[in-house]
Amino acid sequence: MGPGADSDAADVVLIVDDDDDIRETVQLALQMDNHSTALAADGSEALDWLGRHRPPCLILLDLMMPFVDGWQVIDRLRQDDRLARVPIVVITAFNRDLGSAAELPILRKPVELGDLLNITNSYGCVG
Amino acid sequence: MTATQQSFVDDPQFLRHVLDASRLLVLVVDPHGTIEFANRAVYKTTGLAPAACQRPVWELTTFPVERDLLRAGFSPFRPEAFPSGVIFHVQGGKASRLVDWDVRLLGAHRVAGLVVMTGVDVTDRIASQQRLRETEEFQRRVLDRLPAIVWTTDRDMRTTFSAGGGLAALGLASGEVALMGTPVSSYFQTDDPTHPGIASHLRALRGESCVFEMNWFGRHFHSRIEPLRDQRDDIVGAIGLAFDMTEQARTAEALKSSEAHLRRLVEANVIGIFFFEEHGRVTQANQSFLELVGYSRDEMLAGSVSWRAMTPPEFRAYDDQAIAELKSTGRCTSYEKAYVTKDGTRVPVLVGGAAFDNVPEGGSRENAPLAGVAFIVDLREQVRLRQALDRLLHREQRARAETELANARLVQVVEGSKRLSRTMNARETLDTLASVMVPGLADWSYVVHRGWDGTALVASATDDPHKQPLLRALHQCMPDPDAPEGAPRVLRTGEPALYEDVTEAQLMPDAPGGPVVGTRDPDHLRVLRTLGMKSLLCVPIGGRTGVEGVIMLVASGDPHRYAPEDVVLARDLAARAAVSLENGRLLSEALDAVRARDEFLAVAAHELRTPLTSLLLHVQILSRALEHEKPTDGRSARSAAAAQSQARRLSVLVDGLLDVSRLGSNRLALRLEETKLDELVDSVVSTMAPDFRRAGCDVTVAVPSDVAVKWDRLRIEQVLTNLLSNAMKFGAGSPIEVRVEVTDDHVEITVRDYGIGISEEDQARIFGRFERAVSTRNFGGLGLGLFISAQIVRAHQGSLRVESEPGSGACFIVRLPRGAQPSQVTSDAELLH
Repeated sequence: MGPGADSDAADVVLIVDDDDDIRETVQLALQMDNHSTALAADGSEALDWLGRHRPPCLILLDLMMPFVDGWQVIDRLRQDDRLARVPIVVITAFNRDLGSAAELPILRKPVELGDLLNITNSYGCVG
Repeated sequence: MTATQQSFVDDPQFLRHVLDASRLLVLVVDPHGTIEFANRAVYKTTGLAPAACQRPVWELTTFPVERDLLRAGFSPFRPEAFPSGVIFHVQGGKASRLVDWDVRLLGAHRVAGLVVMTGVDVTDRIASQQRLRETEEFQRRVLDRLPAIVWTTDRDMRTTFSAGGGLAALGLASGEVALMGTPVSSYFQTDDPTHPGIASHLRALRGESCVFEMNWFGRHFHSRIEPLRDQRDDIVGAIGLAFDMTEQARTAEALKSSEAHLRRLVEANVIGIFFFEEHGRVTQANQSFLELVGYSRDEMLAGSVSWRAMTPPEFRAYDDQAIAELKSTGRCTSYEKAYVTKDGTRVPVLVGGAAFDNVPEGGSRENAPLAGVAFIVDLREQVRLRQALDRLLHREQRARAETELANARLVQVVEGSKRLSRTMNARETLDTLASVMVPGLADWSYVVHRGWDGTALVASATDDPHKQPLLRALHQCMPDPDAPEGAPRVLRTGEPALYEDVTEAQLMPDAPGGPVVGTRDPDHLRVLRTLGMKSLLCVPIGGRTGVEGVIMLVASGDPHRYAPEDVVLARDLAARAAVSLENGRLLSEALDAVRARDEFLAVAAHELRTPLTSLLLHVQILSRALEHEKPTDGRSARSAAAAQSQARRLSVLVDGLLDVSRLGSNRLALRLEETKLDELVDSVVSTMAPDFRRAGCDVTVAVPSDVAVKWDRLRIEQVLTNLLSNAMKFGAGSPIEVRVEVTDDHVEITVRDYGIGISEEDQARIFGRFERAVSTRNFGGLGLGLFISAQIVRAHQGSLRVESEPGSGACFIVRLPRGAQPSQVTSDAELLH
């Protein structure tokens, strides 16, 4: 379990990014709107967290990560009946070859605070 | 009066008897021409009966002219008109006879006007005179036909007779009167008694016969002079006979000359001549023939030379045909055959022949045994010439064929280079190269190339579909790279190798001097044998690093055979292939560089956006906090600190980019300073300690103290930081070891991790600009760290290398001289600039 997973509630936002600064900054931003957040430093940590908690209201997912990357996480979730319907928003600096991630909503880095909060709120995550 | 006289008186019959006893014809004719009396001779000569008396005298002649002449003397009677001594023909028994009449008028007699005609029968005399005249004329005519001169002289050597055709040659007529009485000496135009002409006459007059030869008026005479004797055998002169031998001499001369020609022909031994018998025996032969067939004259005379025995079986039919022709026409058309000489060699000859006409009386030529003469022309020289000509012709044809072949090859090379110039990668280039050589330059071809990344590439081609599987099998056969001959030699020396005639033995692995293709085992040998190799040409394919490959051209069948000019052609093709390969390599490198740059830009954007994201969010958080007038809560302080940190992170990234830019344009200058080795290492490790803790890496450091080095301290710290960052990134949760070893003049710093490791393939490229061993999906970073580190180490005349195996971590070793000389970093790729 990554650091800063502060809730087991249904409206937790799972933040998955290998960059500590990004993870912490996004968490700080969401806390401004009182969202509960959980953090994962790479794909395997995310899958591990998802396997052991109720599905979150949203997953903010980085794509480029060591060991298990964002695409693999997407694939695994789609094959998992319990988690297939969990909304995913991709946060990435990557601007090409998004592959299977291309169909998902995307927040491009650098991310605007307003966009981040709006999209999180639009998924009905209760702050 | 005697009794006889008395008888004339007494007996009127007595005179009549006397007259009848006379051989003279006696007629008494009256003036009217009537015969009054005729004696017995008249009756006998004319064949008339005594009753003929009382008939006109002119009726005695059978010739009308003579009859008229006689009658003219009697009517009227003109006795003076009778021509005395005129010969009249008289009627005879079988033929008329000639009678010489004497007519007289018996005037004193009582019967006036009686005519007495006495005649002598001159028939025989005239006939004999006529015969003599005719004989003489005939003889003269005969003599005049002879190419000779006949003459007689008297004792004073005056010409008394001359005749003969030879006179005409001297411009004289036969029997010419002018010659008569002319002294012989005037013909010889000399009185010299020793002149053969004069001397011969003188000797003849002394009773000797003699002959002499002389040229006279431009003609040659063979003369014979003999004494001329009368009936009493007294010498009355000389008789000469001169044969005009001019023509004979000429003929003889011609004969002699033609004989000489013939003899020369025979003796010159230009042609062989032999006399033969049908059953085979050679009865006579000239030296030429004997020499030709290798037999001696003695062997021939002993009968041991047989033309039949010397004839090889295949020519016997020709001989039989020639014999048949000789029998039917006496000669035969010349034909070519051969003789087997005594020593068994075969001599080509042209033979022709003629049969001797020895057909027996009443026999036919066909049945008689044949003999003849054969003419032999030695054809050895002709055959040699013909063969030489054939050879020349053959050579000329071959040259033409070769020219055509060379043209075809040239076309193929031109075609091939066009195709080669269109190829863009090594695989395609080598396949094209192998195929353009077949079938014009080779029956099969084989190309080996080291490849750009060290992976050997092989291509081959043949136009024989049955050989395709064999070539594929050959790809599996690795030739001995150290073989002294063939492709291995060409790879080593860069010089082409030409094996004009490859023998079976040269393919064997144990061939003396080494197999031409580096055959290693029986399978390899079997494949090569089945493919066939009669001639081999290996040429190098050059490249930037020397010989990069070899083209093998193989002729597997006759008549093709590689010659030095093929080397030129093949090298040309190899050169074109090398250019194409180099172009392909450059293109590939360029494409790789572009790809790496694109990758880098993507990564760089990613890396820059990450701190930017953080920075932007923090600034916006701060800004919102200020809007809500809660300026000093903990969140704002955290954001302000984070923003500062992200700004620094951005600065470091920009510095890295700047370093790459400097390295690319050779502007990395070192600031060498004396520094303590352990201080340097400890400084880096302690600065990074929080990161190690976060990554869960225990770091152990082993470094000797009190070692001074002279480096650009900040740059070497950058190198160590990079290596430790990588170790931490790829070996998170595992220990990291830093060990420093010092020799007299070098320092070796080893950074060891136990992370994911690096494959051998990746080890070669991780020091390149923008290169990374791992996917950009998984690990961040610009991929510049190792490149910059390697350049910094190089600038210190040191080296940076890696030892690693996938899954068991990596070990980076920096080797540096203790005191570096300042120098500029050189860099080869300038793509970004």
